[in-house]
Amino acid sequence: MGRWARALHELTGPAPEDERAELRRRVRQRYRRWLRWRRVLRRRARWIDPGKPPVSVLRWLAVLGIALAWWASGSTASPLSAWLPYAVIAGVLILPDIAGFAVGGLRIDMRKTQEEVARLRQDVNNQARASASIGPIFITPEVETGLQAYGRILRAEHDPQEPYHPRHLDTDTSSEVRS
Amino acid sequence: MMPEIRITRSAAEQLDKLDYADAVEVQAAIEVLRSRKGEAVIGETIRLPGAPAGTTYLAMYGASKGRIWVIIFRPLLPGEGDGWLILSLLPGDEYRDMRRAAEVVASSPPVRDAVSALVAGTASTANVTAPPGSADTPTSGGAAPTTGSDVPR
Repeated sequence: MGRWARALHELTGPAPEDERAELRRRVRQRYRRWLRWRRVLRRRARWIDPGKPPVSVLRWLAVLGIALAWWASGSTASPLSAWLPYAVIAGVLILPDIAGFAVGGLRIDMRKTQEEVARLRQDVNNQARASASIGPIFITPEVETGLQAYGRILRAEHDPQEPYHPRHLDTDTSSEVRS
Repeated sequence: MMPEIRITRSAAEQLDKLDYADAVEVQAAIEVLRSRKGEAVIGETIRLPGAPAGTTYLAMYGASKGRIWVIIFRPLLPGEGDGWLILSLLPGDEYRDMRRAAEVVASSPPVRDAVSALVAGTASTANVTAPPGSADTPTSGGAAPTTGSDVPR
């Protein structure tokens, strides 16, 4: 901005270009603030675990509230529709605390499986990090075992194939829930 | 229409050798595939060379009483049908070693070249020897044994 333009600016107030620039600056600031806030929210959301307090406490309080609501509504059990919605909602709320369930011969150990898979993943990641940090990489007995296992998979491509039929899964309807 | 599930004879034999509890868990995991069709990837991709063109090997977990079994499978090729092929079952520790091998292959060009050559059938052995003290025991011929040039890529 030149000397004459500055003098005019002092006399007449900010030029229209300056007003637009100021507006753009404010919009940019608002957008940056929103991005920062979104980043913070995402970081917080990552730490929310439905199996740990405070979410687990809130879930169980909600279950208690549902039980009280059912009791307050007369605690009727005769028509199915009088209690089934309460039971379904309560069941969904306590789902993260159920360790596993079984239907007939099919049993799923949810929590145990999750923990084991998480441990296995952590092991693999630790090993990968260690191997990445040591510079030159040499074939260790573990890697050799892994490659041999992979070799068996490649050889299996040439095996005869047959349709798969489950042999151990029975189909009776008994069910069991373990928590 | 439900996707077809096929199994290789070696995988079927492995499945027969499992004890009842493990077999139930593994078969329950395999049953999940019946609800998946086409290219829906539900397992972990195995990043090693050698899978037939247009497909990748996948891994899926089945666990029972502290033991983990990993089911290795792939989508059936267009000429084979529509569904999945179970190729092998691996104990959890062997699968972990295989993942480690995949990391080594991905991060080390000489090892990657040796494994690719073996898979392509252009070399029969590879000698990758660790200097003294760098590994528990130096190994030779560490790459996957393959049957020769007919291994699909």
